[in-house]
Amino acid sequence: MSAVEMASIGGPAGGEPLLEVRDLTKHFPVDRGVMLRRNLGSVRAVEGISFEVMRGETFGIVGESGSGKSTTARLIARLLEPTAGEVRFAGRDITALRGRSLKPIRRELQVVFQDPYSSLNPRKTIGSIVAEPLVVHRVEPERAARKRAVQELLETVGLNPEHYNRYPHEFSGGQRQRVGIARALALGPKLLIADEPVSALDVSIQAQVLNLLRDLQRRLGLTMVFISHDLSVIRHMCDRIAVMHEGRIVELASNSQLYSAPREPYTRELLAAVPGARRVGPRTIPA
Amino acid sequence: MLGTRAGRSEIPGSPIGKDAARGDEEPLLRVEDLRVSYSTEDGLVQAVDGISYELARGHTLGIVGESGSGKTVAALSVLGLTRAEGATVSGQIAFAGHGDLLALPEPQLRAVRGNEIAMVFQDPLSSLHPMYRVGAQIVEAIRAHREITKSAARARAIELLDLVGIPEPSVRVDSYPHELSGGQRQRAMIAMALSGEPKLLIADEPTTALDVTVQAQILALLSRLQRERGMALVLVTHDLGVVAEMADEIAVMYAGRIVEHAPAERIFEVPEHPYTWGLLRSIPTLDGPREELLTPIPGSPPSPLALPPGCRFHPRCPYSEPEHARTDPTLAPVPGQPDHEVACLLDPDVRRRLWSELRAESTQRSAT
Repeated sequence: MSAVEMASIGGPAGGEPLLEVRDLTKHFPVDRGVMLRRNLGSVRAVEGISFEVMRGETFGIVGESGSGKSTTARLIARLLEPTAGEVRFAGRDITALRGRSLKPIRRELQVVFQDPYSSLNPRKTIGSIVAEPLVVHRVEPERAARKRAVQELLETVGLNPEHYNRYPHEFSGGQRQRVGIARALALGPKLLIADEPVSALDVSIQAQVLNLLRDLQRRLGLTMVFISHDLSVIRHMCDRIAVMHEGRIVELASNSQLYSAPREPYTRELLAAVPGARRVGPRTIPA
Repeated sequence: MLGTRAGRSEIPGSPIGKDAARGDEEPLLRVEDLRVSYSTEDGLVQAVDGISYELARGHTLGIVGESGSGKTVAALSVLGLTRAEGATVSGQIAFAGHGDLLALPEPQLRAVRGNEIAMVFQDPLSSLHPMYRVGAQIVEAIRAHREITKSAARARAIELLDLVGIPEPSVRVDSYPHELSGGQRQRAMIAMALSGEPKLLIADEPTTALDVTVQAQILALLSRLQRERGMALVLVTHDLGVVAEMADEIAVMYAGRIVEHAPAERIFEVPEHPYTWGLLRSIPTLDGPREELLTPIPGSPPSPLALPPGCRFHPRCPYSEPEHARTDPTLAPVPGQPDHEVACLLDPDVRRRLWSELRAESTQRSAT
């Protein structure tokens, strides 16, 4: 039995959690007026969610727009301040960490964003984009060694190391997403948060990036939080899955259970809405 | 299928069902050797390079392709919307007895467009004017094609909003676009598209910006309207799931060409083109084996500025032979299947063998 299958059975009971999320809440205040700001209440983006992500597993968060899934990603990555609740990473509460004390956490917890077009600085070469985390964290202060490290990373994600001096516009969407993944891997993170990593890509390219992520996860023993609106992609990638709706987790189940016997009406509604699901793909057709 | 009674006149507004559309009738739409090119700073871009297809009344054609395949340009040309942008267009587009739309002077084309041919775009927020009430925009669309009083047009607008399933249409008619949800805005766009009596609706990625549950509602709405009004539908999308759900026939586009065109079932069951195989094998499904590896298509689509010689798919095709870099395949029927066309240089028997091997491979993987 593969490690992945183990993890899908394991769930919170088996293995050791790398990430623990407790009652995580994020409200965005809604203000009106420039001079006299009046608080008109708040948007409850995330409303007290709890889950654990085991070491080596891929944990999926699926939901529609406004469900709070991307806010959750940003809260875990500490790109947003939670209103309440706790995020524990490797046993340590990282919710209260600020500024300098966050830096070591950033090395271990990296994000791959949706849009490979806006997440790469167009004025920088691919080499310096991927090298940036190494520079910021002073991991590889020596130039030649840094270049070697970057070229290795480019190779790891299936890019030509000789493209070191090229600019993002010279790359296709799929290649740019590989650059984003290489950058996220630069510091050897333990946890990778992938927020809609293939949504902006064409289908033929999507498969390349999904295969790459799955391969990297196994090869490097990464733990992954994979966020998507696409139920088929989530099913392909994730061991356990949380379904989010209006800021809450409405169902959390193993992959096989969620797709074969969803318990919540909302999950069933989502699954039923996937167009042509049972008609696409060669294996769905009886011989 | 070309009918013998060419130029047959039709009864305006009569609902013709799908069944009536079958047979040796003149097709509603016939596109012949359509070519659209743009000259850009970097050189000539051949966006659409000689595509031909027909669409019967009441039928749905799904045009599938990745970005840059020319699928949107192929659809926009039918509306003459590519004219203004410094594009060179050639070929013929025959529609509902109007002769060649491409040869029609602009005022006459305008009478057809928005009236007999309507369009729904991907992003309703950018196609609705943000400063005008939804109802006013529909009224404008109605009065653009018909001599009708403002109040009668308003009543018609409310009727249309009701028809597309917007709750409280007599209230919503006075809403601004930003006051509607994404799904409701797309419904409002569809209402506007129906303001004429379209025989053909062209929908370009109509649900791409929407959530999956809303998408399901909009697709159901399009099917219902199409059934009730006997409207033909050209559905342009990158999503094979959407065409699987909606289309009677599917045209797969690659690098400005149609590479395969067949009834929808055949595209999913016995696809003939290696690119179609690649598409089908690269998408994860809801009921396949989970451990199955996706098989991506290697490389990326060619730049329209530098199309490869010969078969345009040959650099990415696992089955290409040296010869395929020199010969340009034409779209032709598969032996024994007049309604299944493919542009592939492989021998039909070889193709059949390859596909059954690929299929066996995936069933084998699902068994383990």
